[in-house]
Amino acid sequence: MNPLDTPDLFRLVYRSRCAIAGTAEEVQRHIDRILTVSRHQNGQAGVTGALMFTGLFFVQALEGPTFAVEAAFDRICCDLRHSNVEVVECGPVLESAFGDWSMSHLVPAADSEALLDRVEHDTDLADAAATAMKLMTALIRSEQHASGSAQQFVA
Amino acid sequence: MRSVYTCLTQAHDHQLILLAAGICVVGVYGSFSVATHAARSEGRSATLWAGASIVAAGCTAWATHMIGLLAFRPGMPAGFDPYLTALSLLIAIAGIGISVALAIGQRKRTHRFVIGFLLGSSITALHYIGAASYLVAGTVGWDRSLLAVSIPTSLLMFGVAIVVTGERRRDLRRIGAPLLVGAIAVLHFCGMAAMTLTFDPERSLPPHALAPDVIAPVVAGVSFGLLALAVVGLRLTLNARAQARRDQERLRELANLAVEGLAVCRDDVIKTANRSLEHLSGVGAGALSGRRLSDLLPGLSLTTLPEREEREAELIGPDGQRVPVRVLRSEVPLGSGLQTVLAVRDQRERLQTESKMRALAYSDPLTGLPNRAHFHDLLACHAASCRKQDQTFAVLVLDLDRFKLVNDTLGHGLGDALLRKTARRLKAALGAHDVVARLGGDEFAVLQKAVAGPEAVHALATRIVELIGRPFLIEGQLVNIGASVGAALAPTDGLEPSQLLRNADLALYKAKADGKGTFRRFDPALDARVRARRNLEADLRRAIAVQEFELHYQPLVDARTGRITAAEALVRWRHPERGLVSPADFIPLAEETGLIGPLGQWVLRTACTQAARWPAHIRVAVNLSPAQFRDLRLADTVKAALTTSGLAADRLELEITEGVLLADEERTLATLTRLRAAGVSISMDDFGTGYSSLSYLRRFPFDKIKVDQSFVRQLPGDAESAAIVRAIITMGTCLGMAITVEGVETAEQFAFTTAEGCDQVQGYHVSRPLPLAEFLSFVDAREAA
Ligand SMILES: Cc1cc2nc3c(=O)[nH]c(=O)nc-3n(C[C@H](O)[C@H](O)[C@H](O)COP(=O)(O)O)c2cc1C
Repeated sequence: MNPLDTPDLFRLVYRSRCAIAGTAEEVQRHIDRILTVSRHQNGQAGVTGALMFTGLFFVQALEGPTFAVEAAFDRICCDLRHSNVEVVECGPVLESAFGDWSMSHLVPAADSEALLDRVEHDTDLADAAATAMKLMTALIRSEQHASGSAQQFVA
Repeated sequence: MRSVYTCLTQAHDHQLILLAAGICVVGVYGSFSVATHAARSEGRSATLWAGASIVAAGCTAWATHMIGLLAFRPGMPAGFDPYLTALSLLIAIAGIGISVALAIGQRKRTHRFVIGFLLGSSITALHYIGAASYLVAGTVGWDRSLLAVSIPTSLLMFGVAIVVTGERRRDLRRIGAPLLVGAIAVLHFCGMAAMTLTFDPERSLPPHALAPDVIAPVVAGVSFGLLALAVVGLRLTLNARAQARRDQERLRELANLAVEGLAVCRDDVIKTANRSLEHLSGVGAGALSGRRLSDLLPGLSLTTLPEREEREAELIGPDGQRVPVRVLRSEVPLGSGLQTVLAVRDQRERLQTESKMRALAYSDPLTGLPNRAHFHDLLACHAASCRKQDQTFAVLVLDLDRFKLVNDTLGHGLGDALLRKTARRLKAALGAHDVVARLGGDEFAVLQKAVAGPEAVHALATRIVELIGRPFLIEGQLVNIGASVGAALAPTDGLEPSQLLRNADLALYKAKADGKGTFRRFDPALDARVRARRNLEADLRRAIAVQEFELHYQPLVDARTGRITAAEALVRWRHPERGLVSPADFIPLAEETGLIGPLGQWVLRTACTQAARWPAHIRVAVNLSPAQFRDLRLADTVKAALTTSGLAADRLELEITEGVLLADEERTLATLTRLRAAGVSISMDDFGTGYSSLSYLRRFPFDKIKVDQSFVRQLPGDAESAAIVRAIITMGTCLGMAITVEGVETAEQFAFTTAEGCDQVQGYHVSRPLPLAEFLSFVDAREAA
């Protein structure tokens, strides 16, 4: 592939701690609202990605043109509903790994508890990141195998 | 009265009467139009035209009268006395001429009345002399009572006519002409009626009498001349009118060129307006004429508007929107008189520019946040209103950790983007009523309004630290910075804006000192420390000004002979309240504040001056601080001190520490070389306490090395110290540098150092630093010994 054909595709993955207070339902309502706004804005900006909520942490992947990812990340970093934002991965990529949904909502399966535990408790960010990526890509793939978007947990 | 009537209906030839009336009208028109032209002209032509009009007026009166006489059918032979006829013409011309000349510029009514009276008299004279020139073959009888009534009546009418023509009121002026015509009519017809002619065959016409047939052509000639003059007058009038129209057109074009809106008004009604004003109010050409001014500029009263003074007003623009304007009223002579002209200037552009400039002056162009000046205003304003309402608020100041590094390594473009993103995050951290401003560089300030308590300030600061601590993604690069926040809470931590800002700043320093990415609130202890320091600084400044310092000297003796070879000058501060202050308490501050400059100079000058009076073999050593080396003129200062004191250069030793060499090595070495070249010796002070002393020794050939007292203190018991001292002495000897050991306090230490071959000894064992007088006695005592 010649470099000119390479689309400007940038990926940023971060982990942050959820700062939403309230019961599980209230938290879920907030997350639903975040997803609605995200899908709307990302759709307009040409950003795709996935958001996973582990109950304690968010892990989010953003993919798209460099400036669009930057703009989305700017907005996200002004948000006080989460804290301790740590970037796990950041740089240009050749192809998207998180599908072409403006923002998939990934709900970890019950059997991935061990992995989740590492995402949440590993103090070594690199380890947590690797685990999170593994978990998320696995979830994305399982959804792509399944038919339609019904599995994507559209809130 | 009946006679007047019969006179008119029977005794006159009607056609000739009509002709007389016609000539009268033509003549009057001619004289008036020529007179008007005379008024428009200037210089000689004005006089000429005025003369012509007066002659024409006289001729008109005369011709009218003559035709009237010719129209008279007396029923008997009649003729005219040529002399009297000619005289009557001259009198008419002269009378009218004099009256007109007198009438010019007459304002007073009585004067005008007299002039009218004069005019009437000349016309009356014309009439009756004319009548006298009318000769018949018979006798002429006069109805005296009719004359007695008609002459005064017509004179009165003349007078009144001239009075009213000079009046200001138009309607009054208008009745002037009919009154004048009436006066003439009364004069003429009553005069004719009062005359009774009785045929007397005995009487014949005198021989010089001219027959009507002879006179008629003369009158006809004069009448024709009047007609010609009337035609000329008509032409002149038409020309003048065309000129006026052209002038007006040009004026209108000029007005349309004007950027300002212009309207000529009468009372509240617009007569004409230029295109700019039509444009401004969004109407088509000519649509403003006849509109009321108060509809266009509501609330503006033309009568109360002072002349030539601009006023703010609002104009109803297109679609009823209000346009801010400034209006100026002036009375301008236009055409026939003064007119009210209103100039209207559109203010929108100016106001926009002003608000843009204000925005520029009050905001930071990079982030769009308020700038420092604006923040101070906002803070002052809020502080003032809070003082009244007893409310609490907080001032937070913050700066970005590592921003300088990012800016320097990644470029200003990225630094600017980072500041913009920072501004956005700060806004996200604020409460709805809080304000954030950029003070400059990477410094920001927040005014937190309506604070419930310290916890709220803490919460905001925590949010700020959290948000700024998050990574920034800029052009594909991740940048990590952080924020340190200092805060002051009003009224607890201060009331005045400047005090709050300063206290918040102090807290910020504390936050930064305590590790970055943190928050500190102002603490009075912080203030006390700063205050003490500031007091000391002020005190020091004062002390330098009034010279509260003195020099003490500590002798250095030759290790072998015990003779005093030099003395180190040490500065002491004799404080009026605190007594003698140790250099350790003020030298560091003096170095920090730059006060070391003047202080160092004083020490140098004083030491040189005092040492110049010592025995010639005793040298003086002066310490130089790194700060003094920052001054490029140091070498010159030293030389000047030597010259003024008269101290020989080889009697001055300058002591420097490694710190001097650390700063700007090249420059320092150049200065040292210059000093050495001047004959001054240079010593390395406190040797052994720094890190790279040895390399310095190679770079610069010091004259002397002073071994730091920390080594000497352990002597002679401590083997390692002894070894070091021994090594330094050996090294100095090899390098050709003299060695001084400082801090020698005991006899054992003295014995050790001399035994090891050290050159000079300084310390309490020899003597403590002494005030000048004591030092001199000490020298005397030693010399004597
Ligand atoms: C965990 C998390 C993930 C978010 N993801 C996105 C996203 O992908 N795109 C987006 O536009 N906003 C996202 N938001 C919401 C933004 O923070 C912000 O509230 C929203 O974009 C509205 O921004 P605006 O008020 O500046 O328009 C996210 C928020 C949170 C807490």
